[in-house]
Amino acid sequence: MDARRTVEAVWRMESARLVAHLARVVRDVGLAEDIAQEAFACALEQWPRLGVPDNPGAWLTTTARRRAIDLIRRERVRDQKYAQVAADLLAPAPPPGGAADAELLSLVFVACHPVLSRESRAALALRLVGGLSTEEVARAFLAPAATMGQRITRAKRTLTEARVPFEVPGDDELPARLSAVLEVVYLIFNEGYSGTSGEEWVRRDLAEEAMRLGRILAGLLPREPEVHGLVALMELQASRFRARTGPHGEPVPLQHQDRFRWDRTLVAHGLASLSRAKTAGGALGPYTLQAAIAACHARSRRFEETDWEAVVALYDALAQLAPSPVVELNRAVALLHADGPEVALKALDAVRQDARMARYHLLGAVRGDVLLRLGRSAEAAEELERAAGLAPTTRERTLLMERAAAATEHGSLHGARGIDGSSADPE
Amino acid sequence: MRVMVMIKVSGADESAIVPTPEMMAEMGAYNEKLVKAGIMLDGGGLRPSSDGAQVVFEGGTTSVVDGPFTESKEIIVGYWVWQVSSLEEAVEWARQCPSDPGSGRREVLEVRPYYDEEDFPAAETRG
Repeated sequence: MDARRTVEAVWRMESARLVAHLARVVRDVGLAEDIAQEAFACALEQWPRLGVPDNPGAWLTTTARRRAIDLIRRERVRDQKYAQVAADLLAPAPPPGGAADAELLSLVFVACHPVLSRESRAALALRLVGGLSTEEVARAFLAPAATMGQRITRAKRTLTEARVPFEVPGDDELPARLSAVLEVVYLIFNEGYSGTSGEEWVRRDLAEEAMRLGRILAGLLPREPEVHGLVALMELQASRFRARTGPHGEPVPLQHQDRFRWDRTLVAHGLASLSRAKTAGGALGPYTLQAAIAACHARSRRFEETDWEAVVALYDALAQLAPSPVVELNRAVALLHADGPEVALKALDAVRQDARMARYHLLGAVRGDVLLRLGRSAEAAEELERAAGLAPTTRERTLLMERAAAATEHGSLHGARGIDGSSADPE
Repeated sequence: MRVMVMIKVSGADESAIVPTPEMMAEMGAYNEKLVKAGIMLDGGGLRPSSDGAQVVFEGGTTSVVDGPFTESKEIIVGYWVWQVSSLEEAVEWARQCPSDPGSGRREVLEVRPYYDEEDFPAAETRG
């Protein structure tokens, strides 16, 4: 094994807990990270010569704490805090378990603190909690490394200047702060899962990283149902990774996916996470509801076997909890399969009233399909053409234009019969 | 990347495996660590090969051999499926696995990455 790559691997495994521990002691995330990096520089220098220690984590913690003591003795900049910091450093590091977990959890909450922009939160979470290098974070967000480095440095400075305490929020604050953390994790996941640019493997690595962050969080907050719900949602969505693009990179809608290519390991783990979310108690939150919808798909071997009534009911609950026209649109698609095109059209016309949907191409894509099923080919073609005009990518535009052309042709050839299997898939 | 980690012992040693309560507790703690690190996707322990069977394909004939497989050089007694960032990371996790130096046995943790889609560029996408 290459020693350098081993040190990098150990950084991925140990850095979050090490930085978290140091941050609690020196009371500054940026400084803590600098000290941790110095310890890793020592490892890079020593391990290739002396071999990797049996317990790399303990070695790094000891080295880093020694560095911290040196630094504080040398600088004495934190005079008023010095005595306490020194005492903390001389006390043994907490054993794995309660106190160490609390440190890591504090790091998660600080990295996702509302004083930071969403982009900075995502970058810091990947950097500090995920243990990614600045270059890796930059690649993930398709930004130059220098830009990303500045963003991370600025974010750490903001935390210092705002005197953000290094702690787990109290009960009163926890729900809002936790939802900010979950949002960051899901944002990272979607950057990887729905990202249309960038190399496929980079995107997938990022989605995997988000799932890992989610599972770490689930280990730290096992009683929070929405954490498990988010893990379930990510895993069930990611289980379709392989099946959702064709050989030339074209998107394959859910209806046409080869379900044998779904990742059964992720499905199993996702379903287990979902059941943990459900048994953790309380009303189902938005992530758990979305995961439950994804689970309806994961459980049915064929598109035709989907329990659409259950999907509609879950969308009803989701619309109550987190009203959004996109949720209504997805609900309309479920209605199409549960109750038929007429009911779906009625629901879609309600969605159309929402001004925010005026330029959303998927609404037109779905509505065109429903009209086609009702035999209203001319209207369908018109709707699909309009949707093509709004499509954000060339590929989607071309696809919609083809469907519009097919609708026109279909109208003149077959009169009032819907085309099977052209359903849009806004998911 | 995804790896499978197989826990192997020699066939002759298989019946000698009687985990002590201490080892069970240490393995429990290790498993919990893997879960909390967010890398554990699956895992399980396998019953002794005396409870198993082998289906052997050779020269056009298929035969079934009942366990135990005492002749086998290595027998899989358990496995994990991990999501890690590199082979090195998997190896470092594996190195932390508790082992009982007093058992007198040789145990092997074999780390094997899964094939990826990219490994089959020309593969048919619909099965």
